[in-house]
Amino acid sequence: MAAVASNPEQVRFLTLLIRRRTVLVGLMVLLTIACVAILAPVIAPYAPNKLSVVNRLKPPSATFWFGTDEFGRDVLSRTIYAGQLSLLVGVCVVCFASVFGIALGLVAGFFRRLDTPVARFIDAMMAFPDILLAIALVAALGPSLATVIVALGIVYTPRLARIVRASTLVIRELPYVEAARALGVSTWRIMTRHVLRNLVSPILVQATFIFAYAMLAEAGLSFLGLGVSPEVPTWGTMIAAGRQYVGRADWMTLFPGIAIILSVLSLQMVGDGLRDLLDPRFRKDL
Amino acid sequence: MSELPADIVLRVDRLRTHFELGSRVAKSVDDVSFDVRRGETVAVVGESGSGKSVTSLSIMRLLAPPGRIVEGEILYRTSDGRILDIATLSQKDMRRIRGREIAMIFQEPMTSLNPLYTVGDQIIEMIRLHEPLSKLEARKRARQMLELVEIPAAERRLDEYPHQMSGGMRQRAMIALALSCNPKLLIADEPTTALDVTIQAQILDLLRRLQAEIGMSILFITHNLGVVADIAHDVVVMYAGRVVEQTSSERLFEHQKHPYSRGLLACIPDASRDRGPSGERLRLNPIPGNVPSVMALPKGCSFAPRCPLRIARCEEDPPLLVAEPHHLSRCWRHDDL
Repeated sequence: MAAVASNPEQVRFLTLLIRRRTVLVGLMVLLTIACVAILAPVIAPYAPNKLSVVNRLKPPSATFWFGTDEFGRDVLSRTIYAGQLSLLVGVCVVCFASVFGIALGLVAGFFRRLDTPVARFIDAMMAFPDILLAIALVAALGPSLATVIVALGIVYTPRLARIVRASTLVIRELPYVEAARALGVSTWRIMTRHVLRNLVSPILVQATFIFAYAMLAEAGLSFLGLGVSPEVPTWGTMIAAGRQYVGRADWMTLFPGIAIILSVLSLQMVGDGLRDLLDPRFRKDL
Repeated sequence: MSELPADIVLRVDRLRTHFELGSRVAKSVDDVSFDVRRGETVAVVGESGSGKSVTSLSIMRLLAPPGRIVEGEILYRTSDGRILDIATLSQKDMRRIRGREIAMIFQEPMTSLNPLYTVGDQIIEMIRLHEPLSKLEARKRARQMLELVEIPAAERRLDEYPHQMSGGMRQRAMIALALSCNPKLLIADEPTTALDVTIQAQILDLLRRLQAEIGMSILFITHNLGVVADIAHDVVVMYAGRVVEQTSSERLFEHQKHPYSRGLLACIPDASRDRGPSGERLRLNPIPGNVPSVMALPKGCSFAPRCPLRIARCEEDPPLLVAEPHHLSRCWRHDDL
C-alpha cells in the first residue's frame, strides 16, 4: 500500500475506505461483476449464442443453472457475456453525460449572461421523452454501439447539467466563494476548486442513476432494433426478449434483472460512501 | 492620472455606485469621498442599507450586476509606488490587486472558509497563487501566519478543517488567510459582528496589533460605533448612500455634528447607567423609523423624516458642510449640535 499511497492524506483515505463497510461490499460486488464480464469466455459454461432446440425454455437445473431461453440458449452464459456490453454502455454514457453535463451546468450556473440560453437549451432537450430523443439520434446517426452511447449520453446530459447548474447557483453566492474572489482567486480556479469540488455528491448520486437508466435505455433501443445487433446479448435485450415469457419462463428476465440490480446497487453503495468520504464533516464519524 | 499625497494609500473620490433595475435606479453609494492613510484605520459606519458594504465591494470591484460604478475615482497606491484608478481597472489587472495589495475579510467567519479544505490548504493556495513558493515553503509561511494571528498549536491547526474550529478561531484563520500575502490595505466588512463580545475584543486587539506590526491600513466597515472608538483613526458616517458626517474618531465621540451620528451613539446601551434617578430601568434609545430605501429617497435631507431637529429648511438637500476644521457634516443645523 505504501507504494500506492505515498502521502498521509491518501493513507488516511484508504484506511477510511476499508473501515467503511458498505463501500467495501459495494466495491467488491462491482469488481466481481466487472471481472466476470471481462473473463466471460473463460467463465461462461456455454457459448452465448449456442442454440439447442431440444432445451427450449428449460427451468434452472444442474446443466443450465439459470435455465434456457426460447432458443435453448444458456441464460447463465448469456448473462455473463451481456455484462460486457451493458457495463460498457453504462460507463461510457455516464462519462459522456458527466463531461458535457458538468461543463454546461457550470457555465450556465456561473456566468449570468450564458445562463438563460444554456438553461433554456437544457430545458428544451428535457422536454423530449428520453427514448424518443435517443431513437431520433440513433436514426440520424445509424445504429451501432458508438451511436447508442453518444445518443444516450446526449439524452442524459441535461439531467446532470440541471443539477450542476442549480447547485452552482447556490454555491456561487456563498461567502467563501466571494472571499476567494476578494483574495484574487481566478474564476477558473473558483469554478474547479471551490464550486465543482462541492458538487461531487450530487454528481455522484446522479451518475449512479444515469448508469442504471442507460443500461435500461440501451435495452429499449436494442428491442426496437436500433441498438447493437440482436445476437450480441446485453442485460437489457435479454429482459426485453424474456418479457413475452414472463409467467412461463421467469428465469429469462429474473437473472439479467438481478445482474442489473446488483450492479446499480453496488455502484450506489460505492457512490454513497465516496460522497461521505469526500466530505470532511462526515469523516470524523467514520 | 491624479496626484496622491505620499501618506495616502487609498483615496475614494466622489464615488457613485448605482444599481439600475429597469427604469429605477438605486443610488446605493452617492458621492462618497474619503482617504485612507498609511498605517491608519478608517471606519465606515452606518445601518443596514446605508451603502457601507457597497462602498467596500466597489473598492474591491466585486459588485455583481446590475451594480455599477457610475462616477468617481478610487485611487490606490501600489506597493511599487504606482497610482491606479481602481474604478476603471480591468478585471484581469484587478485580480492582481486583490489579495496581494488589498485583501478583504467578511462578516461570517462560519462560512467564509471553504468547508472542504483544511485551513492550511486554503492559506497555502492563497500564498502560492500570488508568490512563486514551493509547497513546503508556503506551508511554513502558512504556519507563521497562524502564529501571527495567535492561533495556538499552529502546526496541528493547519491540518484541521474549518468546522473543527470555533467562530473566533475561524475569523483568526480568515485574517491569516487575508494577510498571507502582505496586503497594504485590509478591508474588514463587519468582521466582529457575528462574534460574541469577548471574542470581538480579542479580534480588534489582534487587528490593532497587526496594524502596528505590519503597518497596513484598514478600512473597517461596521454598524457598531463602540467598535469604532476602539480601532479607528477616522470615521465616515454613512446614511442612505451618502456621507453624513466625517471626522476623526476622537472628535466624533466628543462632539457629533449630525443628528444621525448622535442618534447612533445614543443607541449604545450603557451598563453603568441603566437605571434612572428613581431606580427605574431605562429603556434603550433607538432612532425611530428605518433607513429610507435608496430607490425612494425623501425630498431634501434623507434623514429628515427621522430627525428630532427637523426644520423647514430640511426640505432642501444639505451639502456636506464644514462644521469645524476636519469635521464635515451634512446638516443645516450642525452649529446647533
